[in-house]
Amino acid sequence: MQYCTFYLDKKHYGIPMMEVQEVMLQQDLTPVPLAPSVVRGLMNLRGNIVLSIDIRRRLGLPESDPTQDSIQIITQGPAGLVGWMVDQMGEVADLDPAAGEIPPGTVPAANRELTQSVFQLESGLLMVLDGQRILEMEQDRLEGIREGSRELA
Amino acid sequence: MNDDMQKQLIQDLVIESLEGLDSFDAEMLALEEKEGNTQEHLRLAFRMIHTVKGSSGCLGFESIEKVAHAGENLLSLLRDEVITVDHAVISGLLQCSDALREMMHGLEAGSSPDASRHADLIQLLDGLQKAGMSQAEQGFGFFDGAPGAPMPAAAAGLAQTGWGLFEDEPAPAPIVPEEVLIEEVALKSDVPSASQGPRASESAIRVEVAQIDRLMNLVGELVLARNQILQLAGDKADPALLGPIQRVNLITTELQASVMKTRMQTVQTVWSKFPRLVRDLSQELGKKVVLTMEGQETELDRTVIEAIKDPLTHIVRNSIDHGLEDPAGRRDSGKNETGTLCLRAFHEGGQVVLQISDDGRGIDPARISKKAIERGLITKEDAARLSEREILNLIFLAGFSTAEKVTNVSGRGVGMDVVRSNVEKIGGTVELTSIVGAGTTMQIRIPLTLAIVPALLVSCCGARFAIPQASLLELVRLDPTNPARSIEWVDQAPVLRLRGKLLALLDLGPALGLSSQPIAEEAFVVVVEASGRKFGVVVDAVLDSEEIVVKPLHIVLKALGVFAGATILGDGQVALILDISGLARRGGLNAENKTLDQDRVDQNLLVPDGSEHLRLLMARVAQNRVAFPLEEVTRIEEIPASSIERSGPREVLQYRGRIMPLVRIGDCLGEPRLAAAADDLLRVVVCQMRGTQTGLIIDSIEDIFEERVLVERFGNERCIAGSLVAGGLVADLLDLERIADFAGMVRKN
Repeated sequence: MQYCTFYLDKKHYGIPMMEVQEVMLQQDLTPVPLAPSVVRGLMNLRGNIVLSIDIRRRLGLPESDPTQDSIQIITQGPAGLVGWMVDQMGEVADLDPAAGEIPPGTVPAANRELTQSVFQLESGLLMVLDGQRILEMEQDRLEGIREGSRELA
Repeated sequence: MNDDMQKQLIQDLVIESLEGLDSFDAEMLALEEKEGNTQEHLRLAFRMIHTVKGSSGCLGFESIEKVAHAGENLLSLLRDEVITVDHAVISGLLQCSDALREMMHGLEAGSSPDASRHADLIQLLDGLQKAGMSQAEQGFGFFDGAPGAPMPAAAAGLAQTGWGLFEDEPAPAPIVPEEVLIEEVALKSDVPSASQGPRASESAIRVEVAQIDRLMNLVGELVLARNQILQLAGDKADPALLGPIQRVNLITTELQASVMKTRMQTVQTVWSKFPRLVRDLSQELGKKVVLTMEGQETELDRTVIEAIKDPLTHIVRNSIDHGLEDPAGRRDSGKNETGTLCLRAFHEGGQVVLQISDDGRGIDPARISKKAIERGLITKEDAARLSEREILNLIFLAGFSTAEKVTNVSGRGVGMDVVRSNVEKIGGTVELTSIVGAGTTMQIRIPLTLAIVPALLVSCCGARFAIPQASLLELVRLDPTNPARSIEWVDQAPVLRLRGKLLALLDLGPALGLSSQPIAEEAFVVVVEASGRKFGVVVDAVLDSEEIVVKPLHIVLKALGVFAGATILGDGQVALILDISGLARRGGLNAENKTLDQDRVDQNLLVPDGSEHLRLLMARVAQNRVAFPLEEVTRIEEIPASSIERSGPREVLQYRGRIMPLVRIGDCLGEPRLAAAADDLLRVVVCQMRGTQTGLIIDSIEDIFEERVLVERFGNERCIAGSLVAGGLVADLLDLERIADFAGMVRKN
């Protein structure tokens, strides 16, 4: 199976190639008020609306350098187009899914849930992320907040 | 035959048969009502069921064929007048169509049809034939046995081998006596059915809905690209480029209109199910109901049609179950035993209005408010403050049901709130009016389409947002020098005095977490209404009104509950569309913040006889107060006096690329014309008059009222239909027909 790999804060991550539609340079974003912090905004991709996500905060990574152009990996999910903000693209890795291991228990629980599997490459470790799960968690979080505010009211 | 081809054939069979069965039902109902030519109804019904039988037989679905065959046999006896049309026969045939429909849905889902489930039905149909036959036996002895007998094995075999690929081929199972067949052939050849014109298959093709949706998306993108090109060209106009750009512009607009048109379906697609529903329900409940339908040809986008299907069905069920009385009850109250249920559809102000009215017992506001208090939905104090109209609309609250007994049909406490939320989801509104003892009318206003909606663009804290026109009432520009136009505070809550009533305000910046700055003195208030709540949204500036292409939001953002979607603006940037109901919820504008209309309560107590429910736009012309029927008004514009041009004796205006004739209402009323400075702003009410957009010039707009008014005629003024009192003010109702005469306008088709 092929994985599209990329770097965030010099760490090597990947997502299944099947989900990737295209890769593009960062474009103008329209911020979405009240949205969770991972949502960087909406952008126009040839008439389609793409939700741009920056997962640094969820992975506990430092904020990105605003002076550097970032790259968006566009994926087509069941709920619409999503753009993942990354620092730099990596190679396409052709790996046997069976060789992937689940992240060890010492990884913080939140990160463990976002990481599908870890591959040992010669150049270092490759962490394959579960994009769908990341979005689901954001949605749950939002709905939780809404429920909470309703109870308060 | 490969799998794909087989699948395609089955799908075609299902679609064709379901359509055929719908019209079969319609023919049956017409037959029962004895409308029109009996033989013609029978012929059409026969042809439809025959097609179902033939096509399913050809694909080897023997059990479908069997059921269709039983129905066909019964029909052929009806056609030959061996048996007569009666209630039992029609019911049997309708059941047959239900069974076929069920099997078709089964086929669609991939299960193989099973006739044994319908053995009872086949027996019933056979029984009906025999019953009819035994009556007719003396006269038509030679029919003995043949039609009534169950399908002989030989014939079934024949049906299997017969490749009746074309519906015009002779029936694969010639069970009916021979002369019937000959007659059928003769009928087909010499009556090409003038009303139908060319066969549908020749003038139309079937296109997948997904394909049209794709087309629509592409056109949406083209519109955006066009807007961008226009903006760029506007700045640096190269004359050589302007020509082609103009052409692209025009073609895009036309293309958009044509694709939209392809997606349009008539209201009839939903309504066609109702005659059957009404018949079945009224029988079940022992009521007599006549269903009348007006405006079936009104067109709506297919997404809208889908969305209103369930709410409409629910309202129709409710009207029959709760609205209309049983025959005895109707007789007691001096009405005709047969109740009337009327469905109407028409266009008004760029929207489509659907009305469902019955002449039943009406809804008693006292009972509604009692129930609402019992259920803890409102307090006693609330009830005393609410107007009659507001009380009636309480039935849209969740958990409200006044049915004394829960019936099979309706009355489980879910319903009207779902109806309202479904209608609001597509940007529509629903309202109820009722007169005790005389009937109830439910009015649904919905946009023509969901894909492209008119919206107002506003800006707030540097971001742009779109507000759908459907929820927009008016705009107010704040002016610190005018107390009626400046913000005042009730504790921490900002309010505005809007024509003597307090309007709750929601400051968009803080509500969206964009700013914590106090409201600017010269901000704008966008007055909106959603879920029966009227409030003002404070924004920094009002930018433009634009037709926007609505794009769905990612599911993660839907959970925010304040945005209805997103759109791409002319400059390629994305803007969010505000969800007004969601915003109201978030802003804590609950029912207590309703603007209560005391005047309305008082007036509702005095409803004069002969009054009618009108929506009026009140305006001033010199010393006169005039009222326009709002349904005739398409827009209100402000134009500088200098933009008026002349065409012959007429004053005209260039309006949206066309010439619009202008009429001064002052002239119609015989008021002297005052000289206007070139930069004076004139207010123009744009109306559709005799098929032409016409601008009616007035001095100022006063207000909009919706209430029951009595129009009385005292004098014989040229352009006035009569005088009325609305909102406590006397006004003259304009007669647009006479104004058109006055202005010498020709009739256009």
